[in-house]
Amino acid sequence: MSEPRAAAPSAAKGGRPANLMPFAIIAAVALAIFFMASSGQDPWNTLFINPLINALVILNIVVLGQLGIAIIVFTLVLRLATVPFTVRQLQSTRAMQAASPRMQEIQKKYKDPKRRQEEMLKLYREFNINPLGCVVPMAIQMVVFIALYRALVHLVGGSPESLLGLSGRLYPWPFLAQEVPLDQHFLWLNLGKADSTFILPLLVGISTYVQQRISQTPSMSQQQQQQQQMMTWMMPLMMVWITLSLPSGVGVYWVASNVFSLFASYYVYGRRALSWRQVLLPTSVPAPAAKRPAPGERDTKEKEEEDSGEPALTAPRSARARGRHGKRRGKRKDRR
Amino acid sequence: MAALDPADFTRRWVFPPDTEQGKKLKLEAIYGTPVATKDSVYFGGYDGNVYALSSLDGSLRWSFPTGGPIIGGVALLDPDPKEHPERARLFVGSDDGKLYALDPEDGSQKHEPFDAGDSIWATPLVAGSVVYVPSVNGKLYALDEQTLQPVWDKPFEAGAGLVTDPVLADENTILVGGIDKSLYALDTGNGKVKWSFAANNWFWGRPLVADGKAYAPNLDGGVYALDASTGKPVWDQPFKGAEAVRSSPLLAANVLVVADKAGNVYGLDPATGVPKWSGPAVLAKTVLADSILLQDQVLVLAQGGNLFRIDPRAGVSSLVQVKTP
Repeated sequence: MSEPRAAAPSAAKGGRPANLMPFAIIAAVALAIFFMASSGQDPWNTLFINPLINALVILNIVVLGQLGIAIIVFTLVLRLATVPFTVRQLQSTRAMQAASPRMQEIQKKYKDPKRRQEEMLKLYREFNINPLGCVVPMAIQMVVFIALYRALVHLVGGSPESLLGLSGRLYPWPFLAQEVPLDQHFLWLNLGKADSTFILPLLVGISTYVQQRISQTPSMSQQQQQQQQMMTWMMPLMMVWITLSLPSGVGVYWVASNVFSLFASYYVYGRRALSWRQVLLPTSVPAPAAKRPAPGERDTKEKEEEDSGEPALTAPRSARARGRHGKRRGKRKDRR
Repeated sequence: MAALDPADFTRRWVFPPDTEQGKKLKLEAIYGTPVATKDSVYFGGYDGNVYALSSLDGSLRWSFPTGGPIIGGVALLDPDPKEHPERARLFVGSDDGKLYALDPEDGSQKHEPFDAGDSIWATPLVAGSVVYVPSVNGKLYALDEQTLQPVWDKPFEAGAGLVTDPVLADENTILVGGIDKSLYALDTGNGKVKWSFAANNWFWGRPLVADGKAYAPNLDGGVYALDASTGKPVWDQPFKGAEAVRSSPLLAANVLVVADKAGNVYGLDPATGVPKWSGPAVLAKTVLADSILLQDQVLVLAQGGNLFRIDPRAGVSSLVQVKTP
């Protein structure tokens, strides 16, 4: 099983172009929207809804008419396409966890906001933290969520008249028309209607909660911790409430997306980061760093610790605990 | 489902009735046009049941459950109930893909249902001794009305789902259209294509056949006037409404009345397709149901239950005030 990789505090190789990628994508989308709007087209429908509708119909053909599977395949394809952003987001979260004690230290040490900000930026650079790293994956998720809702209203709106809107949205390829109307049934669900059994909303709530817990960054203060804990509960509850009123297909997407995120977290953090303790126990405010090593000293120390398998002193308590477990396991291995 | 007095629009009855038992019935929606006889009213509900009501007071005579929602209407074969009561049939297609043949008297099944292989969204057509059933799998079946055995060697197959109610263009030609954007004229004897006409979007509304012409509404907002025997366009150009046209056109006082989805009602010259009114009658309600002709007046039923009366000569609309007894 892969060990949790050490938070790479050094600047990433080629990090700058990667940092610009989210902005490049946002700029490209904004430009496309501008040009479409100025040419009299509806960019929302032309760029998002209609391609999504046609993509789902094509996938539906590929998976032999199972729209639920088509939605899951679509989710996986989309999440795989955005893996660089997702991994970056997770790495950023982990770097935040590693840098958390130093952040607290800076908060305490520098009262001048400008100086404090400068120090924080330095720290971000040192730990290769991109505060906007999570924006692109989240933005993509939310845009797809809304677009998928609109697409499903047309594809399997739960009533025949919903197909009236679909008629003008299908691309003029005869094989697409042959698929209409799509079969709305998947497992116990009618994908065009909300799940009245409450099973799907429950799955959405649980998977969102787990996802929230795993992607949490450490809080720097009691107040932040309380806010984060509130969000950890509020977000799943909100998603449950939304799923209760939306077509089930949207819930299927959300659950599949959360499951993918779990696998991505496993890939980036390793098995221990996904322990039941991590998911179920309340988060604690990390203790401030005992000592901040000088940059040179720190690099040497980290190298030694990496070699020995012991995490840096500056890493959060949870990471240290994981490191100790890792060491014990290593010793057991040696004994064998 | 409500029965109104045509003289003053007083409501005679409503189904389900406003009683404790009536409140337990959840029809969800009624898509198809009901069929009324002297004694009974038949229709299918989106809840999957076929209902037969007394036309006098709207009381339930019988109901029959199918395996899926009923989206099309029902077709009644009522030859001469006194002389041949055994021949009477009520045909209804369901989203479960089956065509049911019921006894109009008691709702019992006359045969095993015919399996069309996919959902049936259109109203079956009974002509001669044959019942024609389109399916969303793109096939049109011709079945013997008494045995439900296929009459043609193989069903006609379009490029995509057939959803319009089939109609007769003449005694040997049947018109049907659907999602592949084409309207087909088929030989009633063997299902071979006589002609076809391609438009820009799906055909969903039932074509109107009158004076050798077929007026076919389309979801591209157009109404196409075609020669019923050749399929050639009759007008210089098709009429274009503002929105998709799902409801069937109607001829009243030599005006072709067309309602689009947005509730714009147009009055056209049936010979040329040129608007006869100064502008459309704007109902500002979604209109998907077929209109009704009532003594030279056109009744348009909008979504939500509003009923409008249109004067076809002047193009003036008014909301019908339904009186409750």
